[in-house]
Formats: sequence, C-alpha cells, structure tokens
Amino acid sequence: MSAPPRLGRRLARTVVSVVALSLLAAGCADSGGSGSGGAAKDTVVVVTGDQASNVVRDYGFTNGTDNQEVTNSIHAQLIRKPYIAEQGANVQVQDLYHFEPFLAQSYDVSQDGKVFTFHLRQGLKSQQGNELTSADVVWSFERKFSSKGGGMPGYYAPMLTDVDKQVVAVDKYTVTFTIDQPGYGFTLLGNLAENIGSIYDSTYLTQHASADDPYAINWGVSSMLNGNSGFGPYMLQSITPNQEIVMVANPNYVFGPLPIKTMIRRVVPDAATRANMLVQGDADVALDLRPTDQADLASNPDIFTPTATSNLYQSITLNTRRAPFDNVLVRRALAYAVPYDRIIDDVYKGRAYAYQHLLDDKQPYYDGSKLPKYTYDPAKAKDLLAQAGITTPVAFTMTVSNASPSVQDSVVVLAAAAKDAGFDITINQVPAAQLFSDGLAGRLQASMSTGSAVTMSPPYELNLLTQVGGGSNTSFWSGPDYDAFAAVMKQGLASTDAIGPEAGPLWSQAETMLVNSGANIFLARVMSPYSMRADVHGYAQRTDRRIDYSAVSIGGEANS
Amino acid sequence: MTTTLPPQAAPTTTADPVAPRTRRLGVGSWIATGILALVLLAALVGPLLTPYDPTDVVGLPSRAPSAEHWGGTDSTGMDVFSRTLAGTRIDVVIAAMATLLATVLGIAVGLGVGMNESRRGPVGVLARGVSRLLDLLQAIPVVIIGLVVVSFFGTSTPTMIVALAVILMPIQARLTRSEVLRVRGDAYLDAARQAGRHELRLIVRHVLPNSVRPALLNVSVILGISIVLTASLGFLGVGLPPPTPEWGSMIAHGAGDAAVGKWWSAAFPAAALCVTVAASSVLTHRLTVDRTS
Repeated sequence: MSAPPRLGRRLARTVVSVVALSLLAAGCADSGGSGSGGAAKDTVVVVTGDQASNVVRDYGFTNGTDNQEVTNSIHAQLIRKPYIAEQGANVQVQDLYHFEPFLAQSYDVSQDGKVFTFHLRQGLKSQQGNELTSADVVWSFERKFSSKGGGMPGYYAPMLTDVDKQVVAVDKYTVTFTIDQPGYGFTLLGNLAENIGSIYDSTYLTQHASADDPYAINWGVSSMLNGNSGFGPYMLQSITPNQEIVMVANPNYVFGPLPIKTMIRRVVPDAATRANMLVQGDADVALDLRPTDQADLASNPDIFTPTATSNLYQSITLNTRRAPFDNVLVRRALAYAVPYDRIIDDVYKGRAYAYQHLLDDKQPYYDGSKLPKYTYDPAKAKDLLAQAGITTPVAFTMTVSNASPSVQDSVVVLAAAAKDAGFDITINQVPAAQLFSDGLAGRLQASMSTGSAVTMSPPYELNLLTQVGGGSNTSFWSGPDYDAFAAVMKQGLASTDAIGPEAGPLWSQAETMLVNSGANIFLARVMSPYSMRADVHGYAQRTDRRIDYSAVSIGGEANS
Repeated sequence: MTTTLPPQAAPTTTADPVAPRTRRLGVGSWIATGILALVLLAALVGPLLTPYDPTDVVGLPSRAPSAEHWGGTDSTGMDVFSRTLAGTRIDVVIAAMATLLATVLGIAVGLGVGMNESRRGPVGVLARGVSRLLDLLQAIPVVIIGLVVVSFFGTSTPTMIVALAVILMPIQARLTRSEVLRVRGDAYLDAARQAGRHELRLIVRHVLPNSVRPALLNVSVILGISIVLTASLGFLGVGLPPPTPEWGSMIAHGAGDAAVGKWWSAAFPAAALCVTVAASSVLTHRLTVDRTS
C-alpha cells in the first residue's frame, strides 16, 4: 500500500532537509583539502602558474618555474650549498660561499688549487636502480657539452673547455676536475652545486642512445616520463597536460626516506586564484604569487610567507648602441628618474628592498662604498640631460614581458615619474620569449625585467651581464670604459681565489664601473614569490628560488 | 520605327504601401538612445572632465572607491574613474572608425562581388574568389584574425581600427551581396542598361540605394561587436600599450585584483563596457527586428 500523498511530500521534504544539512555541515567541517595543523601529511599540493614541458636540461631550458622545480627535484649534484640561518629572515637561506657533499662523500682540492677530486658515495642508486659511479659523472659532462641546446659550454666557460681532458674518472668512485687557473675554482664549484651540474644515470640513458642520438637527449624529450634518469629526491609518476604532474619520492634517494612521499603539482594560471586556493586550504604551496597578494596574506595566521634576502634583482637594461642611450649621461639621467622607493613600497608592498647594485654585499672582501648613490632626483636628471645637450622630453620605448605583473606595474610607475625628469616613455609589452630574443638581437632601446645569477660567484655574475656574446648581455656595453672594466675582470680571474682578499676588491671595483656606466640600472632585490600553509616546514630560500621539497614536511606546529 | 520603353523607375525611396506601418520607439529604445548619447558625449568631452590625469599615478595603489577617488585606484595608483571615463573615447573612437571603415568597404566589396560573380572571364573568377574569401574570413574566429593582424602591424589606434575593419568587413559585404543578388535581376536595371546607362552609374544610382539598407541597419550591431572586440584584444594583452586607458586592458589588469576582493579596478570599465554594448544591442533590436516585423 502506498503512503498518502501528503505524507510522501513530508517524507521527501525531511529527506531533502537532512541531506542539505549534512552537506552544509560537511562543508563547514572541512575547509579544504589541505587543512593546516595537526598530524603530519605525506602529500604536498603545489599550485603553479605553468607546467613543465621539458625536463631534459641539455636539450634546451625553458625558463618556467615548473620546469625548473621539476627538473631540480629529479636531479642531484656532486655537492650543494648548505642551508643556514640569516639575521632578520624567517626561513633559512643558502650559504653562498661554502659547499657540502651531496652525491659525493667528500671532495678535496690540490695545493695549487687546480685539481678538484670528488670521492663518490658507494652503493648509491639512481631512480632506475643503477649504482652511481665515476663513469656517470664523466658521461654526464660529455652529454652536457655534446649539445648546444642547454648552453652548458657557455655556463662552464672558461673553467671547463675540454671535458675529455678536464673531467677524468680516476677509479670507480673517484673523479677529478682540472682547471687552468685556481681563480676559476669557486665558480666551478658554484656551477657543480646547481642544476647545470646534475649527474645522470648513464647506464639507463645509454640503453636508449642511438647513433643519431648518442646521449639519448632526443629520446628523453620524446616523453617527459623518460626524464627519470637522475639521483634526485623525486621522480615523475604521471603527467596530465596543462593540468597536473604527480611526482613520488625516489626510494633510492641519498638522504631518504623523505617526509613527503607524493607531490601533486596543479596548474592554476591565475595568480590570484592560486592565492585563494592557499587561503581555502586547497593547496599547501602557491608559486609565483603577486607581491600584493602576498602582502594581503600576511595578516592570515594560516599562511606563511618567507622573508629573506634574495638574489633576484629587478633592473633596467639600456642598449648602449642605440640612441639615446649611446650617451652615458642620458643613461645616468635615467638612473635619477627612477622612483626606487615608490616601486618598492607601492608595487612590491615591501616584498622587495633597495639594492642598487649586482653583487652580494655579504661576499667576502666586498666593498660597495664607491658605488654611485642613485635616488629619484628629477632636477639632477634634467641637469644631466642638459649636459648631454639633449632636448627634453627624451622619448624612448621601454619593453617588458607581458607575463610579469610586478614589472608591468613598475614600468607604469616609472613612466609616470620619469615625465618630471625629462623622459617620455612608451611602454611595449611583449611575450617573455620575444623580450629575450629581441634583447639579444639588439632590437630594444630599453627593457625592464627581473633576473639573477644562480651561481653566486662574482666573476660569473659580472660576466653574465657584460661578456661579449653573453646570454644576458643586452646592453652591449663597449668602448674605453668597458675595456677598463674587462681589464679589471681579467686581473680578478688571474687571482688564486675568486673570493679571496686579492680578488674581492677587484670585483667591487668592476661592479662600480658597471653601475657608473648606467648600462644596467639596478632597482631592487625582490623576495620569494612563494607562500605556503603555515604547517609547511623546512622551506629554505635558494639562489635559484626553487623549493627543495626533500627538506619540506607538513604538519605539527604552524610557522610564524 | 523603333520605339524604346522608358526605363522603369527604380524603387529607391518609394514607400511600399503594403508594408506594415513601423511602430513608434518604446521607452527602452529611448533609454538606450539616451545611454548611447551619453557614451558619445563622454567620448567627446570625457577626457576633459576627468578628475585626474588618467595616465598618471595619482594616489596610493589599490584603494577602494572613496570621495577622493570615486572609482578607487588600480594596482599602480592610477584613478579608475578617470581612466574609465577617458577610456570611453578610445574604445568608442576605435569602434566607430572601425564600423565606418568596415561598412564602407563591406558595401563596396559586396556591390562588386554581387554584380560580377555570375560573369564569365577573369572579372567573374575574381568576384567568385573574393566571395569565397569572405566566407573563409567569416569561418575563422574573429579574435584570431585580430591577433594575427595586430601581431603583424603592431599595436596602435590605426592598427586596431584596421584590424577590426578587416574582421567586420565580411559581415557587411555578405549582407550587401545578398541584396545585390536579389536586386540585380530586376527589370528596371535591364531597362536602364538598354537605355545606354553606364554600368557604374547604374550601380551607384540604382543598385546601391536598393541593396544598402541591411548593411546600414547592421551598423549598430557592428558597433557593439567592435567595442567588445577592442576590449577583447586589450584583455588578451595585444591592445594599446599601457598606461593607455582602454576598457579591455583595464579589465584584464584588474581581474586578478577582483579575484582577491579588490573589485573596483575591473568593475568600472566592465560596467561601462556592458552598458554601452547593451544599449547598442537594444537599439539594434528595435531598429531591425521590431520595426520590420
């Protein structure tokens, strides 16, 4: 017998109400997938703006955050920079001037400073289960230098120019690197400690090599999952294009087992949405946030934002071959037309700090006392333009990447402020790749961007921006001032220790010459664009600004 | 003795006594007309009335609307209300010029194609080729065409006008062509030809007035599409360079802020865009659908 209609309606209403209340209660009880505090978790959810597309560093490097983080997680190097505390910082940073063993058990340097001998850990296995030997190290460097795609010969010049002679396997677990001058040693170690020094599993890769592809570079690129060819902490498990990459802990990792077993990297293109996901607990770590969002998150006790010094500089590069910046007085005038404080306060909301030069001021024997002190001084800028005999306003085009919101905002602030200093700036926004290629081709008058040297060796940093044909030289600075600068650089490289008492003052002198030239105007140093849930521990700020997930754990007391 | 019939009068301006009487404009149409008039007024004098320089940093960034800054400030400290007002001129001028260019070109092309595509010889082949090209252009998403044109010629007001005109011209051309195909077989045209009238004179005097009406009625639709497309290209980052106050780029710039609760820098230009396009759409509907039903 069926229930009377009225009773049926009541029953239906009751069921619907109960279901609705249950859903509401469930929604209130669970604020998100990640949550904060409480028991330790072994899965980290990372939200990233882009997705890695190539993890074979020697094929070619795409400069996306995800590419670098995934590649870094797959690979390991002979040595690494230790993490240390920094005064005023709420996270650890990398010690830029010391190295500790990583895949190597130890290393030593010959008395003349030219031979670096690495003693490898024995019994250490790759992601594919093959033991690390000196043959892997030698093969890795042969692979790096066999392809121009990764730019390795450029990164390693002038330390390594002939790997067959300079990188030698002494026995199964010992390998030596020999350099021509002891002054190159610090830069060599710096490179070996970064992802350009990654060691590959040659046993695995040679199985996939062919006559046309002797180092399995193209094979590696043919599928990203072929990229599990290293000794790093994580390995690729699955890839859903434009959506998600899942990585799992490498069971053979040198310092394993790891607290985080699974890393889910979700693609969320919009920065504000990434910030929101962090607030909602739908992500543990959000990459590439806007400084304004990070400033807003500062008051949220569930969110932790690292504060530490950074090697990421924001700068203006002026093409010294093209008018009006072929005149040093005009370049210096522009340096006095930049509202440094306003950019730091209004655009970066305190997530950047004043830093108008290139080198690390904590570097041994550094002396920045002779650096010019640029401030926003429109009168001085106009005076310099008058000295240059140029009628104002000086019109020029400043090109920026359309993928860098902070730089885009900075250039708007600059354009507004520079009007009073006699400059009329037209802003041109282009894709990042075009900014890079147009800059190298000398097609730009001026550009604003962020950049950094991952290897924090003074000669390396200075050469990156000034070396003829260098990958970051878009100012094309030349002439007598440059020749004098190059002579000082040469003198520094000839010293026995790149961070010793002899070379230190020379790098400071060279840097002063660079800043005086106005070819590059350094605006500020920009802090890490990452924020995370407060229960994410172990983050350390690296010079490559990538997260070392092997050091991360989740759960327990919240960070503050 | 041979007699020649006088050419039949072309029905250019004669009202059709059988056609239904057009209805009077309703309240909605008057409101839409009023809004469009205000928009045009803002385009003419708006930049003179802005409380602040729309391209200057005039306050602290990301401030909510207040008595000082009616529309708040954006993430660089520019006044949102001033930029929205100043943006009217840019968006409306680009859209109006593009509409004008697209309509003039479209009518010319439609006339040329319609009159010649059934001819033999190279002229006929060319006309049929152009006709297929118009079909092809209409098959490609308009934003894609816009992106290609802007990438080739760079971003400036003239480039944007040309890009939009290229995108929208086929619509007008196809409307005109359809009418020309209907008109060209009328007896009065044959009579005019037999009377020795030059073909060009015949097209201008008789075919054009009788085939142009659909394209002219479509102008307000084209105007609305132009405004949306201008904003779309700006939103996609290929519009006019910053800090030019243009609604689409303002919305794109403010969208990220809106996602974290700072709604104003995107909301004001978005509202301006919506109101303008809605008014244009209402008026179009009234002029085309209602008045011909």
